Amino acid sequence: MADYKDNKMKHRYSLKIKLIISFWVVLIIALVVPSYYFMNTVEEEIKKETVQSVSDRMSVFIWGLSRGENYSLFELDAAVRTVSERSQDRITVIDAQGVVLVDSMVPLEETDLLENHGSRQEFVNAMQDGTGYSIRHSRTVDRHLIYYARKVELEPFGTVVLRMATPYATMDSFFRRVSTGLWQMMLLSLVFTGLLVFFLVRRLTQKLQPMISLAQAIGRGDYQKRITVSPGREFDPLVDAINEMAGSIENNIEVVSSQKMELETILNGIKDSLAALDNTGRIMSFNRSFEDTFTHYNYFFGKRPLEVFHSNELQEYCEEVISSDSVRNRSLEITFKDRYYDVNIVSPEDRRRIGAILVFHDITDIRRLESVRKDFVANASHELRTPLTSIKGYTETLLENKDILENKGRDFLEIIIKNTNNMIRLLDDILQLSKIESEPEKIVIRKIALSPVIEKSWNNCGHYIHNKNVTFSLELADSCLEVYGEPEYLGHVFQNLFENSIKFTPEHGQIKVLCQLKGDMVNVGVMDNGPGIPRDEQKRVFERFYRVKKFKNTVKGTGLGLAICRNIIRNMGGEIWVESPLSGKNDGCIIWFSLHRAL
Amino acid sequence: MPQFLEELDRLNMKIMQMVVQTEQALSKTVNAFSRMDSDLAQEVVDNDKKINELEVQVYELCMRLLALEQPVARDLRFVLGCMRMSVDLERIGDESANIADATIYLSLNPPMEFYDKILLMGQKSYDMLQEAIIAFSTPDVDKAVNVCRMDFEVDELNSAVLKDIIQHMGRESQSIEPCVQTINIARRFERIADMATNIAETTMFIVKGVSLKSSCQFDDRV
Repeated sequence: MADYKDNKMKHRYSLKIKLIISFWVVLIIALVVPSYYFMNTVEEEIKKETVQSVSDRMSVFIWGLSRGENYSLFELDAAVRTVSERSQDRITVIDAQGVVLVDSMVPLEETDLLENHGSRQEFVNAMQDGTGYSIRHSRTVDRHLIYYARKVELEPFGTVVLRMATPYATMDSFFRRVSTGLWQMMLLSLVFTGLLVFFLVRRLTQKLQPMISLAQAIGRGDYQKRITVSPGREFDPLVDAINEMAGSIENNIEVVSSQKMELETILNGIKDSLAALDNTGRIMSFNRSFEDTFTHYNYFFGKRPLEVFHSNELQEYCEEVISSDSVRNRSLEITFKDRYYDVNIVSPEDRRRIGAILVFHDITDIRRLESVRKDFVANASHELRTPLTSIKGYTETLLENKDILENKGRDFLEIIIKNTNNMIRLLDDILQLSKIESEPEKIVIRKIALSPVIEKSWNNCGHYIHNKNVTFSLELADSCLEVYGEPEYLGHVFQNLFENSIKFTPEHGQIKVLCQLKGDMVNVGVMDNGPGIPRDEQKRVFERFYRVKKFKNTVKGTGLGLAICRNIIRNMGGEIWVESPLSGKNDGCIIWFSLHRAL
Repeated sequence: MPQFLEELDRLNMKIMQMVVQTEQALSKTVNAFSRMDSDLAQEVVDNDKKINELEVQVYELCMRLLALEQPVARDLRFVLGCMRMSVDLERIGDESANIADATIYLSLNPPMEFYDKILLMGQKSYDMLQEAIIAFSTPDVDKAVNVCRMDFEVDELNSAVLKDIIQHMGRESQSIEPCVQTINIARRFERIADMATNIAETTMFIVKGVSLKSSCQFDDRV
């Protein structure tokens, strides 16, 4: 991507400009080279012509001079002037040392003032080869002149050089005339090509525009689009390629997205919580179960495991798995918010994107079930053994001691019958519990009114209130008078809850039944002002034989009441839980359970 | 990542490590108290060193960041907040160790009736710390405000417990020593709750930049 941008930066001239520039370069080369060649040739030709004509005139002049004998300097001057007037040439006679003898443009008296011509090009050439010429700018007349010189023998001056200077002006003006035309032509053709290219390219881009926008649309993700019009036959392969590309992208995307959906559905369907860490160890994605389980944060992305799960060990393991080449997976157990998780950390082969996957398996229920099962056997045998021990003890005493049998026999037998009743009650409870567990179909729920069931249960509890002063109140809202339930079993639930409340309330007890509407469920609560249930035991009180530690020895009970309640309520489609202590107080307790609301 | 961000990230991780250590210490302390488990209590006492070491590390990181990177705005508040928090966390660790110490002593004595209330105090202060920590690491100002509200409950429990213990001491003078230990434990849990409130206040300071003490004063507190 970066390379592509750099390239784009380098070639920031548009096709238009590039075309125009290259056209211009070609045009300039095509115009300048021939004209240069042409001009050079013409110049050569003109020079030759001029030199030839000067040379001819010179020959005529020399012929004229050679007719007379022994000219004096004065006569020579007169002859030179005469010829010069006729031919419009400047004629100079220079002796072998370069001293000007006569010059047609300079009066004879002033020739002494002229500088020595010994170093002039044409003079040097003439002295060497007999003739010579050069083209120079003459300061005397301010124009280009061609100087032609020839070496001749002239008595009485000996060897002299005759030089003829004639204007080279014809050439200059020719050049000026021709070059202006050339420049104009060049400018015209440059403008013309510029316009031509401009319109050509504009036409081309206009034709390409639909193709470009379609390709852009495809690039933006509109993979269904196809290019139907081609700007020209040359572009057909490009159009085909783009269409093919769009097609295969569409297919691939479809495959990938369906795979992704499949995977997402699977992942969201899994009960275990999953989270993926990126290669820096931050959470990058997670499944629905994860979201539902760890609700204490509303934003997980970019967080590290340490921040979310508050476990240094987990963080260390994650870092190890992400950075190490040999360790691919690790597992450990963490506790978070009173729940146990078995965490498996797996790292993929290719860690460019995903550093590790965390799998959280909730083992709280397994743990609890294990301890419940273990406890059940221990508790059941213990609970049955206690009354049996006392029965055995008293019976043995009675059998062995006649005296006691006669005097205190009745008291002992009463104790025995009390313990036997306890045992029967315990076994009844166990039987009821197992009946509910094994035959849940016996609980057939139907629409019933709540208050008669509650009142009947309360009346059944009358014998429990020995000498306590308990006030009972019913606070049922109109909206939850009727629920779906089975009256007999629901009566058991209320009776169990009332018995518990009566047992634990102080001297002036207050028991209240309340209810709330929550969605399509009715939450029914039995509230008392007893000491409440310690928080860490609140979940366990529904276990069989579990009894709150504090009251184990002071308050009687089988430890099965709430377990029975939970079984009944669950069979009616509800849930049961504890709220203790009451909000705003440090004691009291409400046992809540939910039932389906009858409409 | 620029070096400054890297350093900030390192500080964040360090403070989270410390947070987790402290949270675990308090959780163990509460559990040890609830079960009168002297082994678990001893573990807390032994572990306190680690929290102290972490405090020093956090402090050093903060100093380096302040001196070399000159953070501004929220980053500055974060660094300052971490310095403050590390002190509070270290204090919580110390108080947990002290409670654990007292628990070891109490485990040798018969239990007393007001232990439940103290345990509730411990659990509530633990809840507050957990909530404060979540508020800090999210960061979530609403949760932080919640923590401040919870402090009130612990304060009330503390005074109720104190009354109970004084009555008890009046009745049974031979159990004065364990009673005094229990008072100490209650006070320390109350202090921990206060420090959890401090952490919540620090969170508010980091997020909103408001002055520390004003954010946790409610009218209904009186």
